[in-house]
Amino acid sequence: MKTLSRRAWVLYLLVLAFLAGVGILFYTFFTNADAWAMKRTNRHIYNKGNLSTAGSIYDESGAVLAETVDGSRSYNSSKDVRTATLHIVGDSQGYIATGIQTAYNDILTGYNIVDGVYDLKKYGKGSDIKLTVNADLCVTGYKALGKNKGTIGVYNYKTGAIVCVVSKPAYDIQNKPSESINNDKTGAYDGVYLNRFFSGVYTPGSTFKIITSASAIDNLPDIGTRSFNCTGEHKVGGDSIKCLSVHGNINFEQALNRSCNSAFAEIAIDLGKEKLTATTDALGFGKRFKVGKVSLAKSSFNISEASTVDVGWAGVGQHTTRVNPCHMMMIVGAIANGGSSPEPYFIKSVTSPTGNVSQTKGGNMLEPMFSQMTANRLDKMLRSNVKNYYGDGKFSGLEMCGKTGTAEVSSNEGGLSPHAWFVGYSQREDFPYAIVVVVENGGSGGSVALPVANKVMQKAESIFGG
Amino acid sequence: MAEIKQKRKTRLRKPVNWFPLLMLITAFQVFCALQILLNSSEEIVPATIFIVFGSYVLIEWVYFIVFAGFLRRKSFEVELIAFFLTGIGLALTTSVYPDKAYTQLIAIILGLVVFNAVLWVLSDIDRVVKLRIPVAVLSLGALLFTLVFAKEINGARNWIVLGNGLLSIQTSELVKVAFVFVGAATLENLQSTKQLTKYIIFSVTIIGMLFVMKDFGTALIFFFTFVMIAFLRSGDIKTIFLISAGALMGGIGVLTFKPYVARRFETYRHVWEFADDKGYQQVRLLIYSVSGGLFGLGLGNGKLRYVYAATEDLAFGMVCEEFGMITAFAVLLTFVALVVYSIRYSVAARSSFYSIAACAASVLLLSQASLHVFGVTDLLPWTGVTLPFISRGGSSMMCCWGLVALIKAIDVKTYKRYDKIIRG
Amino acid sequence: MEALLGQFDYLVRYLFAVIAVIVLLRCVFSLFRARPKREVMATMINLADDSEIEISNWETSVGRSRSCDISLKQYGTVSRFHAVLALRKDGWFIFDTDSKMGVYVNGKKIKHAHQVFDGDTIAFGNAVMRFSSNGYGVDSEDEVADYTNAARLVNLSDNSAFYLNGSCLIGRDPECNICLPMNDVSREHAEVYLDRDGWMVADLNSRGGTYLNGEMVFDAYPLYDGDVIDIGAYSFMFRE
Repeated sequence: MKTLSRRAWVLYLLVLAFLAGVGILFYTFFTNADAWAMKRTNRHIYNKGNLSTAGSIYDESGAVLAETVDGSRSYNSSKDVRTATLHIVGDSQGYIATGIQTAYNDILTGYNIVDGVYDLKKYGKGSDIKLTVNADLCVTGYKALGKNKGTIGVYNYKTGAIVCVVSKPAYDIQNKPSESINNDKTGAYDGVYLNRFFSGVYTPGSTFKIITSASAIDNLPDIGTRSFNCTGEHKVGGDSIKCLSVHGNINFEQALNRSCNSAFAEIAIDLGKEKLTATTDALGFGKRFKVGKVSLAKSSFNISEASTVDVGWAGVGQHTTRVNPCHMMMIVGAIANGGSSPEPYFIKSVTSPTGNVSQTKGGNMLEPMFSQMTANRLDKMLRSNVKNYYGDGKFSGLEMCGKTGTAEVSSNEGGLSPHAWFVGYSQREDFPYAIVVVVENGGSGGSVALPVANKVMQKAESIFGG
Repeated sequence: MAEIKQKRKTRLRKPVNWFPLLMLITAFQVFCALQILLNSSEEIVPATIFIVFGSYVLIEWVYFIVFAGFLRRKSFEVELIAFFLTGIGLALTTSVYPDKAYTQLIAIILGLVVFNAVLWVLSDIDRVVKLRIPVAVLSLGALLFTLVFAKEINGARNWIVLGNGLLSIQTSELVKVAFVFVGAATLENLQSTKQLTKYIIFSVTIIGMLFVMKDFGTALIFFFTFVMIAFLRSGDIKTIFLISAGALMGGIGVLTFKPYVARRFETYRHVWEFADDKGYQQVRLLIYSVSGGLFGLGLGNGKLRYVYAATEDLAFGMVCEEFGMITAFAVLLTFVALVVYSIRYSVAARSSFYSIAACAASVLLLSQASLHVFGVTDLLPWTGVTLPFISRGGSSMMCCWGLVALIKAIDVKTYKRYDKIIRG
Repeated sequence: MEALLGQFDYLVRYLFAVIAVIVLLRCVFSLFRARPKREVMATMINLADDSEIEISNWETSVGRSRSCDISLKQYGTVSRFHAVLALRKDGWFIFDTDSKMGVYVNGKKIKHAHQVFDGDTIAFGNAVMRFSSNGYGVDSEDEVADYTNAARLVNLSDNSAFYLNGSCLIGRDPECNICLPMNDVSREHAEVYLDRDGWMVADLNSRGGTYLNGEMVFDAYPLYDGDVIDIGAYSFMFRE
């Protein structure tokens, strides 16, 4: 019996193996719970792959953007609102990954590991989400983009609340043109499921000169007294960096006003790779920002392998540099806010089925992007751009600061038109909002993006201004 | 501090008091019945629920009053666990397939009959020794009969269908108890027959027949049990290693030369890619298991029940979704407890027969539970075996109760007469 | 009503989990902690050197092999697995497991199995033992019915039994139910009493302390059959 009972100890090995298996099983359940429960085949939540029972989504003013009525999703009654808010609200099938209906479906359905999807049975929905986004403003932005693709974002640079997110192309979620989207040959629906504001990256063009300027202010003590002679190009060895016109003798501020490529190529080459990279690193290039649960596309700035002329091109926002629009908005927001941007957010409050409201506080500052001094200097220069060059008449009553950009996306003549950019913000104390506009292949930033920005900012001012 | 610790130590050594626990179990079953009634569609007749649960609760109380009250048995952990798990299974069956509730109830009654019959047989070691050869011959015969006359259901030919489908029996389940029974032996038997040859031939024949029936899951369970019994009997690691290596080679050989067998396992670790064909059941199980959360959605509120064979092949998922993960993981722990109990008591059993039988039976239950749970959640290849006690099915219910009897018999206190001998 | 039913449906889920955890874990921990009580059920005295071999298994293997329960390494005439001594329902039996030299009971060679009684000599080859059962295996049907299940304290020094009835005080004081006139026993040292849960032993703040199976007693402890209570130099076994 002694031997036998000693042999029985081997069974403990089996027990250990089993317990290890149970441990692994529980771990996989626990870590994958959210992902698995939100699968499209979960009939608690989805009906034939369509989100069916979930909480409502309201815009900032309380207008319904999406809700569940009799077991199926219904949306805002206006087609314009449905189209303009498509990307922020998201679709019910999960094609738009950053949409609320996909990224926040655990909150909308009330799923949690403790109670599972029981809220759906008890209340017929999960939590309701109220956005900081204003639907009317989105409609204005969507219409302002006209026939072009592109994106617009507006946020409050004091609190971080995003009030406008537009990404074009979009479609009416109530009457989804699935046929046209699937068989799209014209490119009209290119990247229709992508929220360009969060997930897009663009060549920044001249808007990047803000960043080159920041680096120059930090690293070149004599920058204020320097003068540049623009002959229409800046020669580097055998190559040259072209400028759009011949600016002649100009100083630093004028160079930014007129967006002189020659001057900024010279500054960039003067600064050198290391200092430029140090500045972009501090601004968060190569870093993944998060807006709530949504991860932004990473902006990239990489000149470690670049030739001298390419460093010059990079300094004026060309070369391989790519910037995410939301990130660009945060950069100018930081300038407006004395060096650091608040963490952007687009969820104003979440109301649980039992009526508990949890508000997003906002105003959490991200790590400083600029020193206070640099920010103030840039602030003045961006104000000078509008005041002295674009003209305050273009943004009547807004006291705007900003920079346009015309980002070349085609290397050969007669190729695609450049992306038109505008980034800027209002200096008014009672209207602390920053905006970014990208009009894809729209042409010149000054003539295309700037009027769009004006329309949106005027509308925003009428809603949020003092 | 020390005082509390000391106190707890002695408290827990005492066998559980069955009365409050049985009250709790009864409450659990009453709540189950109420919830089925509440969440049911019209197709369930309230009388069915009342009769089924009423009888089940009655059976439990009669059992405990007879054995604890009149026969003065002391420890009831094993039965309490078995009754509780069986109750969960009965609730799931009644709620998902109301028309099969009576069948399940009858299966449970038969299971209890088997339990007591096995306990009675095991009470006398001389009778056990005499019965081993006939049981071996009978189980071989039963499997052979199945092999010849069986009907193929779900890709495995292990069902004997009688009376136009009125009664279908899975002989491999019943043979499980016999397999353990034949494998165990008394110490003097072990010492005088040192060779394992006869037992190996017997086991290989049975496992081989199961393989031919394409019942791979059960074959695997038998193999684990066989290895365990062979080791307990002989301690001969070399032979066992050889046999296992041979089995592994054979398995690999089958998988290479019979690609259709390998194809049965192609979804392993890839169920999400086969979400709409071969991985359908498993993917649904994973989704709905986590949908239940820690506390479950309540009996009748689940969606896994609409998936094919939910109460048999996906029983673990049903428990997860409707009763919650806490309950499901507590259930898994009970199988561990049975093994530990068998190990602990193996030295003090009345004969090495009981030690071997209990260890083998608990290992069988544990391996069946792990093949079910880990198989269906895609941690191991899915072989479609059932979850002991909880999965619906008459043959497996009888098998489980028979195995529990084998575990129960390891404790001298189970039999009053021997209890008295030891008290002197 | 509807709301009430909904609330029931909601809450009963938690109840399910709680009951399942209580029932299953209670049983599981009980099974984890369960340990069989083992006692010396018989003894064999090696007549060559008067050494005593205690037998605490129902089945005991005898042989030269180290893996036998009784290992007779030094005897060349003993087979590796010589015999098995087993307690069966009719008493103790010795089985000859194909040994070379055979097993002899009281000088007679046995065939396969043979019952042994107190005082029998058993020879395994040239190893000769005297067997004595510790009262186990003796049919106890004729024991006095009243006392079979009665709780009692057995004084281990003289095997005298004290039958318990209600409460029993143990101490130096002559008023105590069990009086132990020794210096290391407090005046009122310990109490054994019947509680809702069964018999309990409590230490009454004695100086020397009361020990239950070698562990110091704090407050009160439940007693089980076979527990040994140490009070000063005295040892009592609790039987029921």
